[in-house]
Amino acid sequence: MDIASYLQSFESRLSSYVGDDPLDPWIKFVDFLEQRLPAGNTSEMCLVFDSLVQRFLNNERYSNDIRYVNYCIRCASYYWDPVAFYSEVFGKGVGTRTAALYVAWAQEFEQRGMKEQADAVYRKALENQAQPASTVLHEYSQFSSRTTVQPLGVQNPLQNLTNQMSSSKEPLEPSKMTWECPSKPPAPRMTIIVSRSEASGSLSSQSSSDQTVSEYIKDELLCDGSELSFEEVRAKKYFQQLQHKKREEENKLMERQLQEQEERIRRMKLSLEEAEVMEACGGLTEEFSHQDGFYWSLAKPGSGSAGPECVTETPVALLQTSVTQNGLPSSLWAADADAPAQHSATRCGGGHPAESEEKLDVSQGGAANLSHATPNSSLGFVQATPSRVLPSPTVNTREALGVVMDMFQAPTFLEEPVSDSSHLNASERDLEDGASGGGPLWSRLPEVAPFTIFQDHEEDKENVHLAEASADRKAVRCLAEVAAPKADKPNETSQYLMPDESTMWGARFNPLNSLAACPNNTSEFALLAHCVSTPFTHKPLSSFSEDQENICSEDDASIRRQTKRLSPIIEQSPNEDKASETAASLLEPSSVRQGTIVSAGLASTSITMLQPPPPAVLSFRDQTPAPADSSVRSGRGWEVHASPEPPLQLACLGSVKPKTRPFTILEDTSSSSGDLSQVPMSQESALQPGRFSARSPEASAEPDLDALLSPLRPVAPTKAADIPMSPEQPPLCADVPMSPQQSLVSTGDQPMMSPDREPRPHTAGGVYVVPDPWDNQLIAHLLSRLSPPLTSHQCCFAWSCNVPNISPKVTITMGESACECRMEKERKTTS
Amino acid sequence: MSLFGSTSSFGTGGSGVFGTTTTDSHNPMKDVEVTSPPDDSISCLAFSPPTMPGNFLIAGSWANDVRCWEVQDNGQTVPKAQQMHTGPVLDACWSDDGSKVFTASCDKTAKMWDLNSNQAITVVSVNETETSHCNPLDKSTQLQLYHDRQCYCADVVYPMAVVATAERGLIVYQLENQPSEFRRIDSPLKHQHRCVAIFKDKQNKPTGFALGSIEGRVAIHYINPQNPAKDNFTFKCHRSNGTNTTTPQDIYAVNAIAFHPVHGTLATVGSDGRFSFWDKDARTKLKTSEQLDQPITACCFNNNGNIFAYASSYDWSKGHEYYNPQKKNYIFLRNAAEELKPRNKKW
Repeated sequence: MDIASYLQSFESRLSSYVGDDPLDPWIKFVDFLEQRLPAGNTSEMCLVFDSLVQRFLNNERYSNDIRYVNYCIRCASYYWDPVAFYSEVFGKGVGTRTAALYVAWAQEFEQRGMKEQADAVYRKALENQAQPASTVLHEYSQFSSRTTVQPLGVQNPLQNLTNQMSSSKEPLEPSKMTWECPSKPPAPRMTIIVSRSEASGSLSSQSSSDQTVSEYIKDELLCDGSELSFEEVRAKKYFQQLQHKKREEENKLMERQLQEQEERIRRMKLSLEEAEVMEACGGLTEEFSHQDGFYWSLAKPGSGSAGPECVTETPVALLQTSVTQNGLPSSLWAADADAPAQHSATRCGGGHPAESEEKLDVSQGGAANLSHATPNSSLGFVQATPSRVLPSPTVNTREALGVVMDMFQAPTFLEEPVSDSSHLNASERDLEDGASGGGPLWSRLPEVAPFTIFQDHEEDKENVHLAEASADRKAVRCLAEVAAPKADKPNETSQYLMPDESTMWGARFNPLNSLAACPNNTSEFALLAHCVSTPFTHKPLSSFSEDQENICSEDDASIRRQTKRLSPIIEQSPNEDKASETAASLLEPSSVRQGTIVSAGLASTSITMLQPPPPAVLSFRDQTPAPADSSVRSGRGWEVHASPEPPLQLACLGSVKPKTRPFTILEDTSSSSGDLSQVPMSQESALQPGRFSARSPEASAEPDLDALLSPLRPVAPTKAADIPMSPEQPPLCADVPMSPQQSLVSTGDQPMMSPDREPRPHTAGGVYVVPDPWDNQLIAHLLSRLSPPLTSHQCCFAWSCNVPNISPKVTITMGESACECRMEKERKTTS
Repeated sequence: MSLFGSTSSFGTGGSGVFGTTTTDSHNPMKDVEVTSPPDDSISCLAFSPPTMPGNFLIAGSWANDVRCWEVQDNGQTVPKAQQMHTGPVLDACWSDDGSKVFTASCDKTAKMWDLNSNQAITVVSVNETETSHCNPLDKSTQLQLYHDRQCYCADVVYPMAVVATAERGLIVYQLENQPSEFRRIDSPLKHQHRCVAIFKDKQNKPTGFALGSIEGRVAIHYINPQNPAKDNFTFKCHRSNGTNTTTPQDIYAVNAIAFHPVHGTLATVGSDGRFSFWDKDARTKLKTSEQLDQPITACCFNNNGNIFAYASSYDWSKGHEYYNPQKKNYIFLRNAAEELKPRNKKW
């Protein structure tokens, strides 16, 4: 009967066991077997021990029962790897406090040469307070001695004792273990806490007890020698999905983009096709616009050419027509330019060439300012030419622009004209054109303005030499050409704009009126000019309507101020559409217009009407504060002076006269001294106003024009500045008053005068450079001088009747008006 | 069945909560369902601290959101707020005063969610590729733990923090003054750590932790055991056929462990869809639930231990193939006042 059968029968009988010590029958059974079995036949006993250990493995009661522990130790001896068995059993809590187990375990390690592990087991035994402690200490000391030095014989008996103690029934194993332990020094104490745990060893448990199936994705958790948590696995999947989604989205986006691109391409193709189709139309339109601008310029010159006639004949009509804002601003510009233009006109008296030149002039005007082209000379030519000679208008426009820019901060004027022009189709065209081409010029002009002053002087000097001036004009023209595209446009427009030019003229007249109204304040003049221009641009009647005028005046003022400020900006923005464009464009057109106007006005003035100069005069007045302009004009003024008298006779003469006047004015202003020279602008303006007045009278001479002019006329009178100018220079004054008084003749003369006056400023201007044209004191000073003439002039009455809107500004006393102008400017600036 | 429908049934009356639930296996324990549960697996649950009046429950989910409910006395839950992460939320916990919630997400950020202002601030941004399951949040101060080894789970009970890492590593930190590593321990478990929970002694100080394994076993480990050999132990849980050795035993992961704040007993929830209550001192099992049709991924007790919340959702234990996005996720609330009272030791 083998052991297996004994075990089976034994286990069958175990169920019947009734007692409080289940281990007891096993002990008896083992004893029985060991007695029955032959001594050497112990191999089969493993079955018994194994079942025994397994049966009580999880029974805490026997965990530290020395009997059970000893059986475990005996069982371990049958295992191929006792250490694993020990660790497993230990993990089950068996023998955790039994010295025998630790000793057997450590000896097993020691036997294998695993000193450190053995030492660890001893220390574990000590920490867990394995009983009997003496056994542990003894074995550990022995182990230590063995590991360090040769084992001491003395300790062997103890060791045996421990063996007996630990394994009462199996002393052999521990003793065996002790033998082979190599000597090693005890490792430093480490606190390794081994508690009952799954990790201690579960081979037996697994093998013996239950088969387990991990209900989770064991394989998927393996990763690089470690394990992933469920979350990590899931996160991987999650991010994979995210990436997948992203890719899909990206793909979708790519597809969309491709589709969009395709669509775009298609659209582009379509647009291109359309564009091709449209190009003809569009080009035409553009051309038209440009042409319009050209027409303007052309028309202006034409008008200028005709203008002089018209001016003389129909200043009123011009004024009415000038209601169109374009006309007004242009008129203003023209007025500014007119002074020189008048001079030139007086000199050259060529209106039509001036037109073409005017285009150039506009550009040149800017260029002239920049280039130091002789505006005066050019102006003089312009005057002569605007209607007569092309170059002269250009020069005039240049000078006028420069002067205006400098003195009046031309931008405002420009803007005004722009606004005005906006009202008018032609004006709009001009504006657009100006915005495209003219704008920069204008902008240049304003910037140039300071320089222009010097230029003006030079120019003035040159102007003195008309021929030289013409040469300069050519240079200017070149410059203008550079900037010219606009000018070209204006030229184109000019043709179409012929009527507009008349309007421009009218505008000029209006400015004249305005000037008359506010001789003191150039700004007011500008405003007035704008107002006038606006009304003209709108349509003479409507513009004349007080409301419109008021609005226009306000707008103009605002615009002027803005434009002045804008002038620098304009350079940048002039081309810009809308406001900037409008302003810039307006400015440009205004410049163009001015040029044209100037030319026209000059021409007109040269011919008969000097009206264009008056606006210039007005502007000059404003500018007068600014010495530079004045200086330029002064030079002109000289020439003009020569001509002013002639103006009556001839444009050239008239121009000469104005020069003389300017001289007188210059004197006055010159009394203001250098300022006048620089200021000549102002002086010119003053002269111009006078001219204007003269013109206005002319206009008045004409019934319709009279009505319109009459207001303007009053302006001229109001332009005490002119008057003062005149007073200083009796001839001038005489001329001025004469002009207003003698509407027809005087007007013709006056325009001439105005240009002349401009030259005068040159004289003065050369001397005087007004740092701040708007200086209150300076203005006041000038105004104070001017004021008496204004008061003296009772023409104001007429003004009130004719142009109420303008009148308010005009009505204001010179000083006050100046203040108001300043205020307005400030407002504009602030706004 | 719609969540709202079930909630409405709850709304009818507290008593109806248990009666009205359907008989399908999603809620075999007839517990109270939380309204508007997250749309994806619920990764964490946390009740508001005792400093806050009332009970507020937050749950983070794989739907990238953290939701907050108010749990009323009758068991009715009222959704209160929600905060979004850009990645799945792995863990969340409350600040001591209950004004803020800290959340950790797969988007490699941890956020502080101020419930008063409903503003979430990213307080930690981790460059590591895996933020893992660790909850870097302290009771009052936030602790970011960096490890040289993969971190599976962690728990913090001031002033103690335990982090279970890969390769059976356990690191104990002390957080007083300057947080520092206190001890490294060889894990008492053979398999991957899955959850860890710190328990306190009778003086309410943390003395040890319960460590859950991926293979249905939990180890109770004292940091400074009076009798290490005897005090520390492991026990099997979340296995099928626990007593029958003839058939292979199905072992499930222990997904979460929670200690009862009053009794010191603990609850474990596993991938087998059961939750079990244990008395670690008596080393006995107090209760095992019926099996839910989905694993239980998270659990927690409220501050006074009257409510046991557990979340039923897929834990990915069987991989992507077994993931059914259409399956509803639930959070259940159970009265835990009686069932977790400790028993006298048998032995």
